[in-house]
Amino acid sequence: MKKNKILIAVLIALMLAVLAYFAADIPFYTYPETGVTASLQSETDTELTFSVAGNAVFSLGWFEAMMPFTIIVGLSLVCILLDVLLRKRLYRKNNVPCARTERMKFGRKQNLPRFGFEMIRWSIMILSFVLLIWGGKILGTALSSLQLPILACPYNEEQLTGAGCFLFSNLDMLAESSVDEILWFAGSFIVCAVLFGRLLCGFVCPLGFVQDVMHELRQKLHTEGIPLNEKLYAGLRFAKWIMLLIFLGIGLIGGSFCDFCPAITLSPALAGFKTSLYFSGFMMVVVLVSGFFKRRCFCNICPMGYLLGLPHKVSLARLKKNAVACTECGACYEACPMGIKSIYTVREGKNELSIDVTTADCIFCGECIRRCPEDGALFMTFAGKKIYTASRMKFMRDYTTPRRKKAAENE
Amino acid sequence: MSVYAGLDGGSTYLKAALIDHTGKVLNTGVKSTGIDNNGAAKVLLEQLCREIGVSRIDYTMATGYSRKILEVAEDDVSEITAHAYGVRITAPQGYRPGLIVDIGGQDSKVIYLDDQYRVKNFSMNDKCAAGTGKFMEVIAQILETTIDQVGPISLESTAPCDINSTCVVFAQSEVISLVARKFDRRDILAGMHASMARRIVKMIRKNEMGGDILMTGGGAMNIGLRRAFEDELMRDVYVATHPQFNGAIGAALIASERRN
Amino acid sequence: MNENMNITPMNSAQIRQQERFDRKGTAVAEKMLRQVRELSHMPETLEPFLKTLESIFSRREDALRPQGVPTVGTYCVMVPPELIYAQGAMPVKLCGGSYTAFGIGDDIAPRDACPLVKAVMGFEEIDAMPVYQNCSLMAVPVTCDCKKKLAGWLQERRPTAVLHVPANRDRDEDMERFVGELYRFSEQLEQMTGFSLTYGRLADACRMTADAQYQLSRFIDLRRKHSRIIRGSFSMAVMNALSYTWLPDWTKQLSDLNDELASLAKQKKTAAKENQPRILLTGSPVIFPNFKLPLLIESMGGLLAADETCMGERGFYDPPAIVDRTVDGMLRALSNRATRPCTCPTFADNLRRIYRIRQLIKDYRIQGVIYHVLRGCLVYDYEYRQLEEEMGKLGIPVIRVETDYNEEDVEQLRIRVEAFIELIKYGGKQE
Repeated sequence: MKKNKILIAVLIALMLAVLAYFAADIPFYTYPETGVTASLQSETDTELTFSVAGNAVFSLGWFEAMMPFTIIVGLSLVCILLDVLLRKRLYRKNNVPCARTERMKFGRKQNLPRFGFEMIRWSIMILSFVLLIWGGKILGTALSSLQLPILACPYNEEQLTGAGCFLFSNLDMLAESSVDEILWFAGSFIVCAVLFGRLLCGFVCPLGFVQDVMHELRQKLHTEGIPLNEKLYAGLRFAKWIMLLIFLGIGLIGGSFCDFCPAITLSPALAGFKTSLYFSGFMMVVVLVSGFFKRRCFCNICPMGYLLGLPHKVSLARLKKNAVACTECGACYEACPMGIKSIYTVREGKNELSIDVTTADCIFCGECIRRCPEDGALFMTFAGKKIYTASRMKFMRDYTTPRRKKAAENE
Repeated sequence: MSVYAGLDGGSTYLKAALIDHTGKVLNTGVKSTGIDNNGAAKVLLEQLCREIGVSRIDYTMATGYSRKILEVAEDDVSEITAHAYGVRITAPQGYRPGLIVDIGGQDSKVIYLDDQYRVKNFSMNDKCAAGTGKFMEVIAQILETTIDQVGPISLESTAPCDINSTCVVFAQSEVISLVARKFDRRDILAGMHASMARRIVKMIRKNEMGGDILMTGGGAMNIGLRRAFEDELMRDVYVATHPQFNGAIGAALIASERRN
Repeated sequence: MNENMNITPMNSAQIRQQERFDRKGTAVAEKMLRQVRELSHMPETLEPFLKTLESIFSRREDALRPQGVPTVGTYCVMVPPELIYAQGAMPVKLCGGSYTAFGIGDDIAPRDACPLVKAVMGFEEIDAMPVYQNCSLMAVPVTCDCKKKLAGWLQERRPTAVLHVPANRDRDEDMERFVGELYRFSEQLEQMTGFSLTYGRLADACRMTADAQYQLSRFIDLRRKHSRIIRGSFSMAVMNALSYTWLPDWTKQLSDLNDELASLAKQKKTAAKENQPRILLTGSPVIFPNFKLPLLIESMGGLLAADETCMGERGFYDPPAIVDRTVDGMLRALSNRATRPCTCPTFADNLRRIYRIRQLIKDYRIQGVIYHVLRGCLVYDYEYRQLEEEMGKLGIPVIRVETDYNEEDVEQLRIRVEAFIELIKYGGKQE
């Protein structure tokens, strides 16, 4: 049985690698070659400085540029609908006696959003989404040398900053880059990874924002996702290794990750750049659909994220736990989009009241702390200062009757 | 000189002790209670005072079964605490505080002390007569002797009998049958002591036992029982001075601390 | 209307037995309630809780609830009340604490069985407790041996839902298996009430319990910050009353109690003196009317500052952390809550209980722990050793008190509790 599993895994890996290599030959949506579109074959590209301006938002050109993304969204919705309608027939029937997959029911009155970590994180995510896509238009390209190590897509000229993902995935180009570029690249990566680590994933990455939006959509519609357990995360971990291999290796064998990467479908299009999409279009559909059914599914396999997480032992953002206050309720594990179980299971440490449970996977979204019902059992620190602590009363307020409704009931 | 009194009100006997502020035992006495606990207590204390020429008692503390009804006492304390305090005075030289085994007429207690004579834990048997003075009393009666004789007699035994019954009432019948079968009463008494020692040792959790073992209570005056204990535990067992009055002395000591 | 009522008419001997049960049961309940009321510093807003206990045990009425709502008898904290409320029924926790019922059950269950199960069997036999008799369904999680056999025994007599609780809860598969159990239970509930499990109903039920747990969190917070604000016996009464109260009513009553305690705290009033040793009671559950131990502790000069028992604070402490707002997500959260943070010793690995007790000791500045073991409750007895060791490391004295459901050993308990309280007082670990 195990031999079979290994065989299947290797076959899938090979298939994906082949797809990645030939990604440029699998068109999703191509624009006619008119000289103003960006070509994506890395052999012919030597520089990224095109002198083509993105179309203004809501102009005709912009709608043309948005066409592929619109198709992607459409395809994703179709896939989601199909899955929800056929789920019972396809794969749920053996699972539980009566699986009541709620479909498309609209949400009930929730509590008013409170000011807190959650709100700050969403604000920063929205801000960085705007800046990373249209920032150049607003603030100029002063920061364009800074290569943020996230999937922010360099094909969008209007970005506020550069994107380190390009050079990572085309390591062969390092040989041809200037010393300046190499220093900026390495420097940005080291500074960002060491200082912030995967805080960037949780707060800045636009692809992360998109996935969070898909998740909230599912929550509002009360549609069931897929069951989360160790088996799923083990599978995702395996996919991550493949992605990493493809990410780092494909440039060296003549392919281009950009043909494979989902980020290219989003950022350039929104800024008005008509970018032809190859296999990446299908990847984006996968990201949207999987992100709908499982929170931040792509982040689990993102190679850039993995690289950011490597120096987690020294980065300034830390997740800590008070093992005595923890009741091992597992809510943190259930809430974690990255499936980190050690926050829940770890009990031993040098100082029981403040055990460091930061892992390479943690994107610092803060969900674990939000869902922790014990005062001070989990807390996040940045540069030694506590920035978010679990609190029972705050936890309860997420679930109790909203104040105004309560007041009405008491009349 | 300040004088402090301790009263230990058992169900049949009332014990009293007088100590001074240095902890020296001035006088002790026992009286059978009858139905009037208060009256007996008053009479006993007056008698003890008269015997040593003391006119007033500064503070009186009560312990034991009837401690809450003795009006002559200013306050009361449980027997466990009283015994633990008592051994501070009554423990013989060389005793390192560890375990107190108190064998009273109606109950038996095991008290674990830390090295400061404070109570760490305790265990009581107050449901069953086996392992208490009652057991010895009943057997002594059948063998036509008295309880203060059973000890010395049993020491002369060379081949102790086995007494298997756990219950005092059944043990009675067993002893009668042993007598009928012409067993020597010395051997029977030795067997009785061994049986008691086993019962009480069952209450002791060896891993909690640090320090030495000290016997108090009426049973401590029984040399046969002490020997049986030592044989069962394979170690020396100390006996408190004034074993019968240990509770009263402890109560008096608490009285003196209360005052100061 | 109870469909399971015995159709055969009772003969006069049975009627006389019921009358005796009524008399004795009322006598014990009244005595306990009187002792609770006699304790000093009883808050006025405690009265509704005592009235509930009086109604159930003294006057033997059925649980008060809206018209037409059936009741489901539950037997452990693993049965989620949210699910039962969502499907239009009311859960009543029927773990027995009655001396009289215990006496009857003594003849049915083996001698060494735990008194809780004997009391439940007694209830079934005597047919005189409406809160028990009128249940349309019994939900028994299979936790310890006695509950297992109780489930089998009950199944022969009335509709029973048996829930298999996993022995290990840290593996995902085990926790998910319990989700399957909840789905099956939900089907049985649907058959009984006619209401199917929908998102709306489940969300409303979870909101209802969240409101109640919010008040409980306030209660706990008040007791943590102002350590002598209320006696432990009163807290026990509050938590015991939860088993038989319609949840929104209980929430309102607790909210009033919290308000009173908050105002008492502002006026710096306390219910006990500073030097009274603060005691933690842990172990087998203390179920009304078996309030022997809490009452003893407080009448012997100690303060029952906190408890770690499943009919006490633990019975409603853990909230379900709903991370996924779907039916499956909520059931998963309920299953998670029922298994993972639960400190019941029927789970194979229960180290989390030690940590929980350590946190309680910190929160309430506990000076001594009384470990309550019901005769026959082996699982709690097993854990005594380890707890004693851990408490030894912290320098906190522990004693093990074993008791049954009868009033004969009150005096023996009294001397032990008293000696223990003195042990703390004279022990030199004053605070």
